[in-house]
Order: sequence, then structure tokens, then C-alpha cells
Amino acid sequence: MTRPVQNLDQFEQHLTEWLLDVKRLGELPAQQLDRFVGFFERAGFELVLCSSLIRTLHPQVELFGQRWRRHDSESIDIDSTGRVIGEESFTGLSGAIDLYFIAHGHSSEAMYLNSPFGEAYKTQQPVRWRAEANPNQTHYAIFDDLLEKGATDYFAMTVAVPPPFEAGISFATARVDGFPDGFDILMKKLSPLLGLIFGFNIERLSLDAILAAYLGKAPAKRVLGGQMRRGQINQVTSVIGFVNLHGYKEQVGSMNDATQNEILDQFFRQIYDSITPHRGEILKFIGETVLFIFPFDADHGAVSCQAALSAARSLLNASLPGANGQQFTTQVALHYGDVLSGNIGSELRLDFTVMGQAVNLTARLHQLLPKLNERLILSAPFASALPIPTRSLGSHRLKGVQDDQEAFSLDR
Amino acid sequence: MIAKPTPESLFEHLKSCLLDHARLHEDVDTYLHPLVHSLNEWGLSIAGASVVLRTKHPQLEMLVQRWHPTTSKEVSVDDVRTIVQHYANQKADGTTEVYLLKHGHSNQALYLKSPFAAVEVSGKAESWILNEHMNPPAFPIFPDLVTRGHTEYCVVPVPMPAPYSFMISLSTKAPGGFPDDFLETMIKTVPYIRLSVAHKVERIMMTELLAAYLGRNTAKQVASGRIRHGDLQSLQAVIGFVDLRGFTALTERLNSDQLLALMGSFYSSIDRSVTKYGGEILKFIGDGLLFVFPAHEDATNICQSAVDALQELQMRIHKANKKYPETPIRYAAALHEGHVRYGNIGAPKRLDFTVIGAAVNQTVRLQELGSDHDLTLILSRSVADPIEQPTELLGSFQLTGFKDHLMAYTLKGSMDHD
Repeated sequence: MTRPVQNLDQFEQHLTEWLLDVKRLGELPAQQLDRFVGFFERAGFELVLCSSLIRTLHPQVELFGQRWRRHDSESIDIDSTGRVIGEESFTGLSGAIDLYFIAHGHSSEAMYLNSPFGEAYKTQQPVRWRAEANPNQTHYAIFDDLLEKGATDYFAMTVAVPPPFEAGISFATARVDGFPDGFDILMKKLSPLLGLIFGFNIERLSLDAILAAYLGKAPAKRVLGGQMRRGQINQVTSVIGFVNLHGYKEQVGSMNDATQNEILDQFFRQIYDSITPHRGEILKFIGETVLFIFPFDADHGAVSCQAALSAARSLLNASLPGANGQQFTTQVALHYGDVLSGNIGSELRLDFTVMGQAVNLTARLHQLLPKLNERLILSAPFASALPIPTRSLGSHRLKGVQDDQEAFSLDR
Repeated sequence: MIAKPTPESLFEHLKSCLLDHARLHEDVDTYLHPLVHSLNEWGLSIAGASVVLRTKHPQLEMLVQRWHPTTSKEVSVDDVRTIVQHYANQKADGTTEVYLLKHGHSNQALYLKSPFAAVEVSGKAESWILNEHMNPPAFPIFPDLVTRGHTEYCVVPVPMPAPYSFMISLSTKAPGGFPDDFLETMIKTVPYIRLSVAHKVERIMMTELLAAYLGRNTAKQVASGRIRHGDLQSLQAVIGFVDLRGFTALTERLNSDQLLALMGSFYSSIDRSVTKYGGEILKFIGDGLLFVFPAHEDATNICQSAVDALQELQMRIHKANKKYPETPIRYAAALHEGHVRYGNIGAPKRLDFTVIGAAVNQTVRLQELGSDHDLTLILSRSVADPIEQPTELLGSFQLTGFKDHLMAYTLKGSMDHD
């Protein structure tokens, strides 16, 4: 005998009050979904699934989905045609929540459009499926999974959110009688409030992602934490690196715009992929030269320098094919020292920068590389911090640096 | 128009206005328009409205939006020193003035003596009757409102998640002031106001943060997802690079406050000079600045604009040095023209807006040459030729990055030959 559901009007009232509370804004999405479903569970809805999906055309923000399921049930496989770039599970009070991020691309588009959310979006009508009515017409893969979980009724709808985002929410119940009458009206009434909360959450997620993309992860975190006032400069010791794409300047004249883009994209992507695993951060793109830094731990200088060197090796060994079957190579300079790092600028324009003799020295060493016919150059302090043997490249007069500097490279 | 709105019917009306899907698509700068419109549909004769938003932005302390009917004039703000930027968004029935205010604004008398400051302290919504008999008027802005025919004014705080604080004000010209229980109705509407504005506030924050680092136009496009990684445009541009002379010596001689003040003054001068003539600061490299004058359709002689901008810079720095002779700013700048590609480059998770092209490196090399010769401004031939100001050939040089010998020029009669 199925439990009666709480009076829908009362339920709507409670849920509305909860949705209007200021605590909803800024709540962690997984926690929020957990509490939201908790309401439905206490009211007797016997949900087996509650899922939300936020989709955007915004290039830096991925498709973000969440699925609530009962503690004892297994997570449902995400349709693997989309490129899943992050997955996490969270144990809540009412159940478990699976979160996933999916990268942009044709496959993700297809995955979305061929889902109940896609249909709800296209038709601008809720999608409703009842197991009893059409048990064999499971035209969405998820209905198969839901049948296994004992679902009897499924409801999905779009939720209006600010552009350029789109959102949807879905529910599945195991109640013998399915969803109570008036469930679709209830959801329609709640939809504007849900949309505004989703809207805030996704704008906040986007803010994090976009700022990190343009400032770098660590600076973005500080800016968002309110720690970055104009003129706030800190002195830190960092490993500093410069890298450029050897041969690009000479060949750029013979490349069309699209090819230039491809070559540079490949180069920048390689830099990101080489340095990020070693906690490196890209600081600046100066034309086709990139300035990057690594944290330097004074108590473990050798380790810090080794990490940077590993990243450099990965860069030097990377395969960077050109348009005509040729291979581009990179040139890297590494040094460590005190830098002034911070947020400088005018009233309206700010920038992150690192300044100081150490940065200047690294740049000058980097400029020596073509003349020395080498691809890797290390400053004397950096070389002496390494536990491996190095080869001297002699002493050199560097512009803006008082004394002659000895430079090093690795054994051939 | 409704004959006699009840508090309940007004509440329902406001609620449906705030939750309407149309709100989602409206520009963040026009938040007050639909609110005022829906109140006036109910016969409230709203003649002014404001929003005050406090944020944790590196340079901005507050954002203020002030709505006034297009027929009335906005209050003058000429003497307000804390305005970083001010622009207006005009619609058919009303105009929203937007003010970006820098840190310290909340310590200004203008703010401290405002109803907003009072409500910030009390945390409670409040309304005041306005008439000639106010003695003394509760706030300095009230007499002016009375002159304009306003009869009642209220401020309603809307609690927001960290790091925001948000307040809304309304004032009416209706003969009897606001309707009965209006403040209670507004307080009841607060959760809906909050939800309707929360995502817009977050978007404003994103745009302002990005604007600080990418420039306003670019930021707006990035925030709305209209710019994609790899969006690059090819254009002719004058590229400039300028840095401080003797920076290392300065870092040793000055304490950090003095150094920051000097740098701040330097960068502000460059920003103002460059943007005045249609240029744009691209990035800071070390203590130097890279800027461009792109050749868009409406930009006619970019070389002329660039040189004019640098002459203005020279004047500004000269003035600043007169004012602060103990910490003189000396700089070296170069201008070069070339073909560049400008746009969104980088790796998928680490992007930048910048120019790429041989002309960028050439400009930096040219600037080094100028600096070596103790010059404030050095020009390549492509910039020196099309300008009005008379120029003088410095010489012919072989620089890295340039195929042929480079002819470098200075401005005749410039202060460079001190």
C-alpha cells in the first residue's frame, strides 16, 4: 500500500520558503540537491532519481550535471559519448550525489540533444514516461536503468535560467501510483525560483572558471577572496621560466592565419600540460614567448628546481609538428630568485605581474639561447640547486645585470 | 492603473514581475527599470530609485545604479572624487546612471550622510516623509528631493550572500507618499528581489573583475561567452612599449609606499593618455607596459593618435615630477607600426588577450635602443613618416628581430635632449 504524499499545496509552501532563504545562494550545489531531495523524501515521494543539468555555450564553462540517487543504489553510467572531464561523488543525508563535468564538443552536443533534457528543450514541454504505460518503449537509455531501480514514473523539464545557459531538472519515483496528480503543476510553479538559484550558482561557477582562465588559478583565487587590492605587491621567491617556439618567427610569414593559430594553440597547450602537473603556472603570453613560474620552497630548493626541470624536459621533448611535416622545438630558460609579485596598474586597468632582477635575468638568459646554439639554459643559482651534474656555458655580460653571469645547461 | 491597490495585490504584482522570464534576458545595468515600471503600473508615481552594491573587488568598493525618469535631470556629481567610472543606460521611460566607486567612498561625507549609510548601520528598512517642514532634514539629499516634488523616500536592505551587500531605495511624487503598509510590502518582497538580482550581481562582478584585467569591452564579450579561444583578428596597429628608467635603483631608494605611489601615478598617466587617443593597454610586462592603437574603421591616423598620446604622457609626467620632485619619474617609450593579430590566445584553461606578431618583439627591441640612448620617445620610420610633428633621424641600426636596418627617429624639439 503506497504512502500518501503530503498535501501538495502545503509542500509547495514549505519548499518555496526554503528556496527563498538567503542560504540557498552560494550553497554547494551537491549539498543543495541533497537537501532539496530531502524535502521530497520526507513528503513521501519515494524518489529513485533527481537530476539537474546545466548547459552553456560559454567556451570556458563546461556542461555540469548532478544526479541524486538512493544510498544503496549504484550510480548510473553517464552516456560515454560525451567527453567526461571530471567526476565526483558526494554522500549526502538523503542519498548520494554524482557530479560530472563534460567538455564542449560535437559528441557532448549529441549526447545532450539525444537525452530527455534535449527533448524537453526542443519541445519546450516536460517529458513524461510511465513504466506501466510503455514498459518496452524505453527510447532513452536512462529509462532502462530506471526500470531496474523500480521506477514507475519519470518527469523532466527545462528550467529557465539567464543566457547563455540552459538548464533542466528531472525526477523518477518508485511509488506504485507514480507521481501524484498535480505534480507537473507544482514543478511549473517552482520553476522560476529554481531557475534563479541555478542561475546564481552557475554564474558563480563561471566566474571562478573564467577568472582562472584569464588570470591563472592562484591569482584568481586571491582576487575572488578579496585579497587583491591594487598596489598589493608581495615579495616571494619563485622559480622563473621563459619558453618560446623556436623557428616560429622565421616561418610565420609562410603560414596562413589558421595554421598560425593551430601551431600556437598546440604550443600553448603543451606548455600548460607540461607545467601544470608540477604546480607551474603560466603568468604571461608575450607574443609567442611565455613567462611561467613555479613555487619555490626554500627548505627544499632542490625539489622545487627538479620539478621545474621536469616540466622543462617535457617541453623540450614535446612533439610539435608544423604544417609541412617539420617539427618545431622549444627553448627554455630557468632561474630562481626573489620577485615582486602582485596586482599593479591604474585605476581602471590591473594586471598581475612579477618584477625584479630575477625576472630580468631569466629573460636575458633566454635571449642568449639562439647565440649559444642551445635549447636549455639555467642560471648559476638554479644549476647549483640541482642534485645532478650540469655543463657550464661560460660567463656572459647581460643587459641590465651588473656582474657577468655564468650560465649552465644539462649534459648533452 | 489600479483604483486602490491593496498591499497583497501589490505584493503579488511585484512577485510576478520579478519572477518573469523576461527579467532573465535583461541587461544587468537596467535592473531598476522593470521594478519601477511595475510599481508605476500600480499607480505609485515612483520618480527615483537606486541600488547600492558593495563588493570585494580589487579597486571598486561600490557600484551604484540610479534610475531617474528621462524627463528629469540627474543630480550633479562633479565634485565626487571617488568615481572611477560613470555611464548612463537610457531607455524610453527612464535612464539608469551607473557609478563605479573606488575604495574609500564609504568614508566620504557624501556617503556617510546618506540614507544608505544609516540603513547599513541599522539593518532595517526605513522610510521618510519629505516636505518643506523638515527641520533639520534627516539627510542632505532631502531638500533637493522636496524641490523636485518628491513626497516620500525609503531604503530597503536586501541581505545577500558573501561578499555582497545590497540596498535599494525608492522615492515617490505621489501626493500622499507611498501607499499604506508599503514598507511592509517591500520587506515581504525582499526574498524575491534578492533572487531576481543575485545572478545579475554575480555577472556584474565577473564583468568588473574581468574589465580590470582585460578592458571593459573585451570583458563584456568574454562574460557573455561571445569570445572563443582562438578568436583572433588581424589588424594594423601602432604598438607601444614603455617602462620606467632606473627601476632597480628606485626599488632600492624608495620605501614600498613611495614606490607603489610612483608606479601608480605612472600607470595612471599612461592609461589616461593612451585611452584618450583611442589606444588600449594590453599588459604589464615586468615594470613595463605594452599598449596598442588598433586601426579599426573609425580610427584614421593611428600613428598621429599614438604620438599625440605620448606627448600628452610627457606633459602629465612633467607635471607630476614638478609636484613630487623628490621622486621623479623617468621613462622610455617606443612606437612602431605593424601587422599584428589580436585576440584570445592560449591553452584551453589558460587564456589571454594579447597581440602576437613580429611587430611586438620589434617594438620591445626598439624601446631598448631608445632607452640606451636616454630617449623618452623613439619612433620607427613607419610611425615617424605620417605624423604632423617634425621628427629627427637618430640613425640606422641593426636590431635583432628586424630583417633590414632600422631607421629610428625622435621628435624634434622634444625634451629628450636635456
